[in-house]
Amino acid sequence: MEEQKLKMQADIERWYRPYPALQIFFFIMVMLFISIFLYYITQTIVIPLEIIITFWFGAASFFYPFFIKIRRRSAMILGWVLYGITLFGGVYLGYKYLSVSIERIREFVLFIAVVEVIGIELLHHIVSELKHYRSSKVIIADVILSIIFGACMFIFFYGIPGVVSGILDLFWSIIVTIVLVILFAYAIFPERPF
Amino acid sequence: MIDFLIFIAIMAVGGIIFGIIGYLTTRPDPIKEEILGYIVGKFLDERYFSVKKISEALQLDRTIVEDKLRELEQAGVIMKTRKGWQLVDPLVFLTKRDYERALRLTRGDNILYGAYQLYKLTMLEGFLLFILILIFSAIVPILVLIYPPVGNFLASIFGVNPFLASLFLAALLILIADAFDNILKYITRERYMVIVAEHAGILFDCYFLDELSGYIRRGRIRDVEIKISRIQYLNNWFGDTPVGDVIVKTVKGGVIKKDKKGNIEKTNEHRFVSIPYPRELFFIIQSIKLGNLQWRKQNAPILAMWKAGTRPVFPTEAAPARRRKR
Repeated sequence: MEEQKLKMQADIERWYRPYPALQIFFFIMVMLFISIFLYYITQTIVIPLEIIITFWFGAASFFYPFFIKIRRRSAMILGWVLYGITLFGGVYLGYKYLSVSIERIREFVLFIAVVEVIGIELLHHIVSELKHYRSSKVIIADVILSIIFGACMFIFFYGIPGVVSGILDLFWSIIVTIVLVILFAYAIFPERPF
Repeated sequence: MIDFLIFIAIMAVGGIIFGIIGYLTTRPDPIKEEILGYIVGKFLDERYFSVKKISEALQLDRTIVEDKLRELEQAGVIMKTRKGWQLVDPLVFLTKRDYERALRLTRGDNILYGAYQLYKLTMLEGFLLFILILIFSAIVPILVLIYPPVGNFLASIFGVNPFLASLFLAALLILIADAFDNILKYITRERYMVIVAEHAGILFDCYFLDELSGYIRRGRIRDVEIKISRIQYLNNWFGDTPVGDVIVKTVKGGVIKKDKKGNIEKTNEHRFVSIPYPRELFFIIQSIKLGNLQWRKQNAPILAMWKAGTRPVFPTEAAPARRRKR
């Protein structure tokens, strides 16, 4: 067999993916479509600009890994940047529009739980290597996050005696919390690639 | 206006912080690359090596070598056995347990490729989950915003801000979808295994919980083809792992398959469905058919580095130099 035919490109995945220019083009087209959609929405409903901007970046973070398969450092760093912008923007919006504060403790813990879940899942979505990376540091981080999530869920469902009451009794709060923590831990723990 | 500027500043800070994290985590690791290059260059066929050998050959501290070897083990490039460290061929995408099973069943043959067939169920499930997540995570919060009764209903159940409750529901759905995806991957992907061994040829599972009872001897392979369907093209464009079907044609009765009852069926052709990295499998099968593993030797370092993630940044082909006009 000819040597030339078997010669492999440096990038193993390039053969399967669209050309980088086409990937970027697709991504730009989708974001353009979303921008037009948001523009028409704002013409009919009054939505604060902050929400529009955060939604736009959220959509960009969501679609970025689907379209951009370029294995270049700059592309990877851009994914991280999009994630950071979306996460911080989302937390700010939560603080401002959902009136999340430490005084309203059940809403506060629920907000932390939601940010944890969406934050980690979005990070795994954007930086898919992290989903498969298994090390002691990652496992410790996952255990800590699961404990925080469990504590938040328990306070949300049961409340804090003498301070705030929840929506379930002690038995069901423990059961629901355990189920949700198992679900959370199973979802965020490193999984095998391929 | 100040509020808006604060908002922009907060987003910018988020982008900068995570940009720095991204910058630091995507740095190439020259030591790991050097160790991997050495292992692949020297132990591709011998396969067993020790920390001492590497640290002496590369003049590196033993603890550094040990740390890097552990990282490579995480990436599935090498494996620790009783005889010492062992190089796993870069195109082996099996769990440690299945790799050991494959080695046992081939009596320690050199396994050049190993993967699981990703049956349609997995791809369809992925697509359906994606649609479900998209619908529920977007529609419930939107409904809360535009249709107050939904918000009131959620507020009466959870006793918190209805929009926050809708986000909580969306987060729960994402978690359920992720956990479900993990379970399904475990059930489907880790069952239909295909391996290509240097001497034994191609071995594959014929049914759920099979022990590689199907096989094609390397001398009986006549032709190999890659077929990529439209759905697979879509998956390859937008999904994580590129897949395609690989069809192996043999001389008469070259494909031996066993069913659960032990009945043997002989055919002239076998289609491996949704195999990860089909082009590489094609090359490997061509190589064993011709009895020439030169392709593997040439490309093993690149493949190993790609798999280990030591080189997340692949060199792009240089653009042809422009001729200067005189």
